[in-house]
Amino acid sequence: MLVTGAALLTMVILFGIFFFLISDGVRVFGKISLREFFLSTRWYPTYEDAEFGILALLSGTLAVTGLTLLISIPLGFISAIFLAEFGNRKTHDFLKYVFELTAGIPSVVLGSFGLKYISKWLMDLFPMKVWTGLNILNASLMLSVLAIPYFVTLIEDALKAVPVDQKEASLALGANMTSTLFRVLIPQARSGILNAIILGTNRIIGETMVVLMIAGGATMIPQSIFDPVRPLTAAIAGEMGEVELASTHYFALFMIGVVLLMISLIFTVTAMRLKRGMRR
Amino acid sequence: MIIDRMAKIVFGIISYLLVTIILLIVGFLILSGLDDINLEFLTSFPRNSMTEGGIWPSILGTVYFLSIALLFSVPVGILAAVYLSEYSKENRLQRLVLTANNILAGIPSVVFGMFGLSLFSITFGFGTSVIAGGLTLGIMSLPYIISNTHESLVAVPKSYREASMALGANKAETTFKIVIPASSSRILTGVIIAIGRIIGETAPLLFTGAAFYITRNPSSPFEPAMALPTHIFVLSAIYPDNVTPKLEGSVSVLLIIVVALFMSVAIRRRRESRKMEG
Repeated sequence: MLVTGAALLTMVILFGIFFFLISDGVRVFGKISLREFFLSTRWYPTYEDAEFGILALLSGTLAVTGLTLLISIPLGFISAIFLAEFGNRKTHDFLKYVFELTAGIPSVVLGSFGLKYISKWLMDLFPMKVWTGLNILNASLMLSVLAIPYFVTLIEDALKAVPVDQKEASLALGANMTSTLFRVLIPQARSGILNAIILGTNRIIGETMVVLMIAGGATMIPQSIFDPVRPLTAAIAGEMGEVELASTHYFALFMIGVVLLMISLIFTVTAMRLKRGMRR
Repeated sequence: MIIDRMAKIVFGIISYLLVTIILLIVGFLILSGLDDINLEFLTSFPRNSMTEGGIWPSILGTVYFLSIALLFSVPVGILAAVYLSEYSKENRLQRLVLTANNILAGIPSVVFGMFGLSLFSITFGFGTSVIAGGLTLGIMSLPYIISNTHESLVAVPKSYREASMALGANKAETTFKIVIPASSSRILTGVIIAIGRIIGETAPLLFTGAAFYITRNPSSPFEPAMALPTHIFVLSAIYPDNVTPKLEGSVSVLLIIVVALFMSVAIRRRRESRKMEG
């Protein structure tokens, strides 16, 4: 049957992605030990004595993702609460409309904005601390512009999924809206909120163009939010174009792809489990 | 109560502040490039190491990449969604397909780019080409098309199917002559969303299909092409500041297209929900 074939094709594609990435990726371990790849901070793929340790890249991903979450979760949470419980129909529709629209801003545009404007602005704002405008803070600010609309939409859905009678019961007992929100609605919606945070984090980790263009590109373990870093995705996107096919460097980049693939697999499956648990 | 009113004010101010910042960024980027857009900019090739001329090959290239992507993902996606909503029971296979689809939707675009490079460019021998890049984008957009179409099909009332069957139509006739036409408007909305998502994709095209600079349009799908998002990347990250007017113009054009796409989605959705209510 044609339709069954089309449906099975999604599974074939998924297996294909795993197969192609892993089969090229594991070949890096013919030259580099597992330990060196994951635990060395030295990523010098184009040196004469090339080194392929991804720990510094991984720390770059963690730093940028962490700071983005610190900015975008509280703000997204507040806006989601306002949308779900406080706004009237008109403000709700307007705000929601803008957030939906921004979910579509291409990341390369934000990368370009960060590169041309935010970097100069950061240099002027913190002249003592900043030695490059392309750093963790800049990348996290632009990633937050992408992440906040996503968090708002998903967290609002989670809050709206709480049965209305729970809220009404609390209000009827004389609790005000604010304490109903924090004592009833948010605890009730917590697995949905967690689900939103997991999906959003997965997106931030996988985002490429923003970090390629404005995270700074330095292979180092960052000491402050003003340091430049080279996250995993930026290393792939920045180096894939120049790499020699079937070289150790090429295989190392594919192994980084495998790491990203595994991260997104774990995050997505966890989110799906949570969602299934919610329904029960 | 006073605490509720204060919470409302504080949360409201923060929400509006966020929306204002976002609108300011988008508005600023669209407006600052507007004066660089003219007929020559839209219809000529870049010249003099990108400082003169326009973005015609990038516009055309984006259309090529998107056409190949949709040619793959729309039929396959609709068929897969038909399987999920019409032909499968709640069994293991259906769950597996849904799970695979969810996992696909969560995979970073750069990983799709590597897959496209490995499968289309190297294994199939397409090299850096419109077809390799287009198919990569097609695979990326497949999960969006499947979930949106699946939702649209499920929303068609059961009575439509029963009425059609009662008139003697078989399952395939019912699906393709009744259910899909009844949800075609929603399916199209889903396709527009998918276009909005992949039109700005840059990293996958960098590996599989994008040329930084070409002097004539590709004459076959096996040649590379320029694209708007990769052009923006190249102008802002690789060329010096003297291409800034061209960069601003390109950003403006891409943002206008994206905003128009998502506005049309919002309008279509409102119309659909009104139809459901009325």
